[in-house]
Order: sequence, then structure tokens, then C-alpha cells
Amino acid sequence: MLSLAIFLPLAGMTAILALPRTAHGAIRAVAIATTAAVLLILIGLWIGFDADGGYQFVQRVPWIETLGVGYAVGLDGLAMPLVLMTGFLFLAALVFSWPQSDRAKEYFAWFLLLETACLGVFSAMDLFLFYVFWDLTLVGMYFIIAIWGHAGARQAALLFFLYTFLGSLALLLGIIGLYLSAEPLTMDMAAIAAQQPFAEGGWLRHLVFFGLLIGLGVKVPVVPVHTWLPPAHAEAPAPGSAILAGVLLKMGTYGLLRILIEMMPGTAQDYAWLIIVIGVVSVIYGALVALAQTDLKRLIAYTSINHMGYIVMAIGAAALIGAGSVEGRALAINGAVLQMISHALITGALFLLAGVVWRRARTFELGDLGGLAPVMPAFAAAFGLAAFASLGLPGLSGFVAEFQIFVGTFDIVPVVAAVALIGILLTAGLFLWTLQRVLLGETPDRWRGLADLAVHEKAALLPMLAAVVAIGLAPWWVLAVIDGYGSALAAAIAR
Amino acid sequence: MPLGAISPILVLLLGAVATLVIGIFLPRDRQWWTALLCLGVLAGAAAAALPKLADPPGLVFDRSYAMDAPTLWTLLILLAGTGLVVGLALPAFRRDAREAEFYALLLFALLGAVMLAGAHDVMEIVLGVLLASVGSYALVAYRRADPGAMEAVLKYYLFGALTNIGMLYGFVLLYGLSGSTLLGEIGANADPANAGLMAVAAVLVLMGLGFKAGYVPAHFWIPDTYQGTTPAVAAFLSAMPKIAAVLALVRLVEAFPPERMVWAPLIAGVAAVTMTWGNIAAFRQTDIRRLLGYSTIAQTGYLLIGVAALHGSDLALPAVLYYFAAYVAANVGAFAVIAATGRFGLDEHRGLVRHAPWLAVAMLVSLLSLTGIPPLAGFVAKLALFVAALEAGYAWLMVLGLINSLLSLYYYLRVVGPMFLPAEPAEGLADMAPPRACVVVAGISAALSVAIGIGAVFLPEAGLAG
Repeated sequence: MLSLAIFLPLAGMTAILALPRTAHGAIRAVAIATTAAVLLILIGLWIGFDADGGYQFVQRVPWIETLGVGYAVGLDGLAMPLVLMTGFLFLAALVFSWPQSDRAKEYFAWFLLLETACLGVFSAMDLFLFYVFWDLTLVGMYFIIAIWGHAGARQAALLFFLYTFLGSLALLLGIIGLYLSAEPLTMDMAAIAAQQPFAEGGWLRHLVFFGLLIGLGVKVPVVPVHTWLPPAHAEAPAPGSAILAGVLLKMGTYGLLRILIEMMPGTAQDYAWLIIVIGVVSVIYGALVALAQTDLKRLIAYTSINHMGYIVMAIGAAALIGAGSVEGRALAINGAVLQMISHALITGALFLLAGVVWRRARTFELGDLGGLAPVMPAFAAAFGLAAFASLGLPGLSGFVAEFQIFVGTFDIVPVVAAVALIGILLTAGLFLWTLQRVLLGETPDRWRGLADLAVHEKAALLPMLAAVVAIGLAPWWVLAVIDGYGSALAAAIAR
Repeated sequence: MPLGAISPILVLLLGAVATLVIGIFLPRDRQWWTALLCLGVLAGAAAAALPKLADPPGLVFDRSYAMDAPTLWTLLILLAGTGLVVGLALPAFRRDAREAEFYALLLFALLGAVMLAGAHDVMEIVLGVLLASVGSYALVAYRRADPGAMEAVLKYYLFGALTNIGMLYGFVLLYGLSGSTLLGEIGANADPANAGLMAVAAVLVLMGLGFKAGYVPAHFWIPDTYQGTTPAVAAFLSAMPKIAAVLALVRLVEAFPPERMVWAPLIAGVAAVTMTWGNIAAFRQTDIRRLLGYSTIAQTGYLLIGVAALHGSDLALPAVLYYFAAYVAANVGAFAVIAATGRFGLDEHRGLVRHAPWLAVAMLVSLLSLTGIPPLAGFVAKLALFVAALEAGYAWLMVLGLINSLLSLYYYLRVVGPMFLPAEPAEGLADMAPPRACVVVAGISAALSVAIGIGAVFLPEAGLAG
């Protein structure tokens, strides 16, 4: 079933390619039906998932046996929530794209290809397969930004592709190093994690570590390798931004846990402070630079760097052995994973809402906006909720995730948690100020005629925000699954 | 000496002669039959080669030719690649005054490449290089009225003559040092005391093979020649003699025990310079033929990574062979697209995806495969090469290879980007009628790039004979 979910979008893409270019309605129907079916399958898997069961729904097919490569997919407590979130976000993004008429056939085709790639990254249990899907996401996102982006999209897309491909190559270096260190040579992720190939040291582990750190760090992105992100977000079409922020960035932090921490915890421990510092710097830097933005999408992009920084910080803290308790470590990991889900929903919604503004006002300039609340009440409510979730208001998902991260990190390295709190304060102020600039004040005459959220926009946003509230009020239905992974990993690191 | 041992080569030889003779008697409007004959010859040679894969490897014809898995796989790749080239040539040379001769020359040039691929005797290498070269000279200058073609062939010929003479000197030196022309005996007899002379011979031979394989410093003819000739011929030159020469180099390197002759550092250096030079020089090209020319140089650089890793990794040779297949499919695919559009400027393909979506997609797939993006063939091939390099202790070469992949992505996107991105379509694109044969070849090549990548279940377990 898992493989079906992964490759169903590819089948949908093939069907779309067979349709005539002008059949917009049929193309859209196929695309949305496909993503909806994928989500249904994933929900079915979620229901059947056993939180303490390790890898489930595993499927293995031999592939390139001379290289020790196999087609292997499966879900554990880390991957399960991420694939569900991916299926959810893609459906929302495509529903939001309902009116798409400019090269609609290619548009939906690329998005479906991208969905297969994203689901594949989180499901892969083989490094080769992982990398195949990982690189495919670059190609899909490049074309989505370049073709349907705003005025500067061409340069932004090129920068995105080259920069993240550089990251991919560094990652590949790390993967090859891991592969060659396994005995016998294998790309099987669980087998490599079980072997702990660098437990005895060796010079190669440093090369592998930095390959992985750079490769994954570019994707997250962390400061200082984040410079591709703001232009890519600013120029991408809104659904593209939502997927980029919601799904693609998570691949970086997912890799940090799945590869770096699981397969070489010893080396990660040696460099744990480096990871922590990178995370904290991203937190503070992202928040500060976001304050200076005058463009709504760039502002959200920088808060992304801030929010992803918490995850990196928590992962670094969890890798640090010799301080804190196993429980604290598990809290940090659980918080990091929950933050991935929470950030995907919140930032995905924020980018879609920015797209709502663009569709009506054709601007992202905060200086031009203002007074939108009276004319667009539903938009104002949604934007307000998403912004409060993003600044970490209790009762919403962002709070639960960040609270766990901070408690866990505080248990291990209290100073770090204290410093990172500055980031929370900054983003809180930032979002309040942004809400004021966009929604409040006198409505300028030119915005008086703006229409409120359309049906398809509500249909895309409502479930996302509902999930934010649901996780915020009752986090245990997600945490139960995540904790199966987090506690086991925390115990494994402590050993 | 059983002739059956070299039946694929005999089929090619007889087929080439038959094409030439039959062409003489065919009326002008039926000359294209020779193209079909040519395809039949290729299929016949493949049919003769396939059963031999099951045979144990061995040296045939007085131990001068190696019939082993590397030769056979390369032979099959050469046959398939040439078949695709015939498809490109069909519309380009239709009703040409000397249509039949074209296919005969193509088969002779291919025959040279095949001899080179299996050569286990330095005189056989010389023969292969010369046959492939002479056939290719004529192919390049086929449109002799075209001044561009004359310039192309002149550069090609002069460069070829110079490097071939150097290579001959190198082989004479090796003969003098070892008393034999057989690769195995040269390697075994060569006296390490004469290291200086050996090094001179090695450099001269490397130059000669470099002309066919297209690596630095024997690469200068490539962009000019590709630009001056037809895309079909460029597709042939950029793929078939190149991979054959690399395999000849592989045999040469393997013939020397590592303690007698250390090729690897020299080849690693050439690999590093070649891929970097090719990629950087491709940056500013505006003619796709020249850009692809530099790209093929860079691709040879990656192949040489595998040659350098031969003694240090068992994966190196299978990786090189796999790279042959991936490279031929992707490279022929890229040339097929420009053969179909008949346009060579980067800017002349603006908006191609609107008017000929399959050509644009074929170009995208081919160039991404050359970059090494999964799940395409080029990725598996590069991955295998890089693994071999790291295993053989060439971490620096592998890192350089990774960086070069990034560089290449930049200029490949310069080709593909305008085809897909929104813009006013280039002038006359709407009325363009691409020849169907070229479109089919582009489609087949792109499909092969995908199939060889995903269906990478086989990385041939290949060992050299002798």
C-alpha cells in the first residue's frame, strides 16, 4: 500500500500528460482526485500504524545487487507523520491551485511528480533510493518556481537548483562514504544504522560528517547556507512556496535524524556543539533579518529559517552525550519532529495566505498593505490564527512543539535554551507587528473592493488550520506515534 | 584459427563492403535502402555477438584481440549507438549524391572503433585508430562544398595525424623495451630500469588515444569539428570512437602490473584537468554543438576517473562500461534533438516545449542524465565511478568530480531553461517540421536514459581477458 501511495501521483501525472492541453477541468480533477486518493491511503496507514512497532508496511525488492542497492520502503514513528503531512499539504496546495489556467497541464504534472519524490524521500529505507527521490524534488521544484514564479523567478530558480544541487552532491559524498564503510557494502539504511560503521573512528568519518552536514544543512536551510531560500520563496508561486517550506525543508532535518544521528551518533556527538551553534545562530539570525523585511513572503521565509533553527538546535542537543537525561533527550527529539509537522502546516498556510493577497492586490509589499481586516474578515481570521500559531501561542501546534524543544534542550544545555528564547520573543513581536501592518489600520481606497477568501481557498486553508488547532489542543494523537521513535532513539544515543 | 571467434567483426566488415557495392548499383531515389541495409548489418553483428556473452573470455587471432565481456558489452553499445545515428542521418542525407557511401563510411569507422575496443596488441590499436579516423575524416567532410565542413575536417585531420604519429612512436618505444607488440607481454617484459623511456612512451600513447577519446590536451579539435559537421556525424564522433578508445586505454593500463608502470596518477591528473577544462569552457558557449562538444570532453574526464581507479577497485571496470551505455544514450539523445530542430543557438529554442514538447523533454532527460541526476542512467554510472574512486583512494578526484557535476548543471540548464521557461517563442519555431526519424531517435535515446537508470539491475560483472 505504501508503494501505491508513493507512485499513485506518478500515475496521475501520466494520465494528465495524456489529456489535451486545453482540458483544464479534467486535468485539475485528475490531479486533485489523485492527491486525495493518496491522502486516503496514508490515513489508512496511519490508522493501522503501531506506535511501538518500529518500521512498518515494509516492502523490499532487489534492485542493483552488485551495488548492494534495493528498493526498500517503510514507515516508522519519524516517517509516518511526515508522509501524512506531505499528502495533506499536497492536497491543500492543489486545491488552492483550483483556478490555475496558465500551462495547467504542465503545472499539475510537475506537482504530482514532486509529490511522488517527496513521499519517496520520507519512505525510503535505502540510501540510494533516498537520494534518487531527493534529487528528483530539485528538478520538480526548479520548474515550478521558474515557470510559474513572479518577475525574478528565473534567477531565483537557477540559484535554488544550483545551490541545493551543491548540497545534494555533498550529501552524495556522505552517502558514498557511509556505503563504503558498511560491511558488506550496502545501501540499506537500517543495516548501516545497526552497524554503526564509524564507531571505531577513522579519518573518513569527518569527511562523511561534513558532507552530510553541508548537504542536509543547505536543504534545511541553516545559516550561513540559507541564501537560496528567501529569493526562492519570494519568487515561487504560493502553492510552490507552501510545498517548499512545508515539505522540502523537512527533508533536511529528517536527514539529520535519519542519517546523521542514527548512523553515526558518535561522530555527531563530537560535533554536537557545532550543530547546536548552527541551530541557535539560525534561530536568532532568522528572526532578526525577518524584522527588517518589507516583503511579506520574504518575511515568512526568514521566519522559516528561525523555526527550522529550533529543530536543528534540538537535534544537536539530543546528540550531545554526557549531559541531561534520557527523558530530556527524547523530549528534544519529539519536539523536533513535532515542530517539523507544525511548521509545515503553519508556514504552508501562511504562504498560501500570502498567495491570497497576491491574487487580489498583486503585491507583497507590507508598506502597500493594511486595513484588510474589514474587507476580508475570513482572510483576517485565518491569517491571524496562522500568525499566532507561528509565534507560539499556547493551544496551537507551534507552542507544543517549541515547548518540548525548549524543555528538552534546557535539560541538556540550559544556556542554549536561554539564548534561543530570544528568538521566540523576536518572532512574537514580529508577527504582532505584521498582523498590524497587514490587517489593521485605515483601509486604503484601492483595497476596498477586495473579495474575501473564495471557496477553494477556504477548502485548502481550513483543514490546515484545523490541524494546527487539533495538535495544539490534543497533541498526544501525534505524539504517541512520534514518541515511539523519539524514546527509542534517545535510548540508543545514551548507550 | 576459427573465424567464428570474431564473427561480429566479420559481419561488420562484409556489411560495410556490401553497402558500398550495392550503393553503386542503386538508383539515386533508392539509395536510402542502404540505410536499411546498414541497420540490418548492425542487427546482424549484434545477433552474432549476443551468444558470445555466455562464452568464457579469451584472446583470439594469435592473442591479438580480446573477446571478453568488456569488448562484447562495448560492441553492443557501439552497435546500438550507431543504429541511432543512422536514424539521424536518414533525413539529413536523403537523396544526397553519395548517400550510400555515407553508410559504408559509417560502418568502416564503426569497424575501426570495434577493433580498438578489443585490441590486445598495440598494432591492432594503431589499426583501429587509423580505420576509425580515416572513416571519420570522410564523414566530417562529407559536405565538401561547405567551407565550415572543410575547416572542421582540416583541424580534425591535422590533429589526428600529429597525435597518431606520436602514438606510433610510443608503441615503437614500447616494442623496443619489451620485444613484443602484445599487450600482456609488453607489460610483463618491460624493464622497470627504463622508467624514463617508459614514461615518454606512456605520454605519447596517451596523446594518441586522447585524440580519439577526446581528453586534454588532445581535445582542441572537438568543438570546431562538431560545429562544422552535421549533428548526425557529431553524434557518432562524440560517442563511438570515444568509448572504444577509453576501453583500449583500460586494457593498456591493465596490461602493466602496478609495480612496473604507474599509470594511475598520470591518468588521474588528466581526468582532473579534462573534466574541469571541459566544463568551464562550456560555460560561455552559445552554439549548442560547441557546448555539447565541451560537455563531451568533460564526460571523458569522468570516464578517466574510472580508468585511474582500475587497480584500486573491482567496481571501476563495470562502472566504466556502465558509463559507456549511459553516456552514449544521453549524448546521442542531445544531438538528436538539435538534429531534429535543425537549430543550434541557445536562444533559437525558446519556448520549444510549446511546439515540440517531446523534443524538449528528450533534451531535458538527456542533459539531466549527463549531469548525473537520478533516476537517470548518468546518475548510476557516476555513482559507481565515484564509489570506485573513493575505494581506490582517490577521494580528491571524487570530490572534484562532484564539483564538476555542479558546474555542468549550470550550462546544461542554459540549454534546457529557454525551452521550458515562459517567453516569446523563437522565430519560426511554430512552422518547424522536425524530421520524424530524428524525433523518434531522440525519444528512444531519452527512454534509454530512463530505462538504463531505473533498470540498473545489471552492472556487468566483467573481467578482462588475458
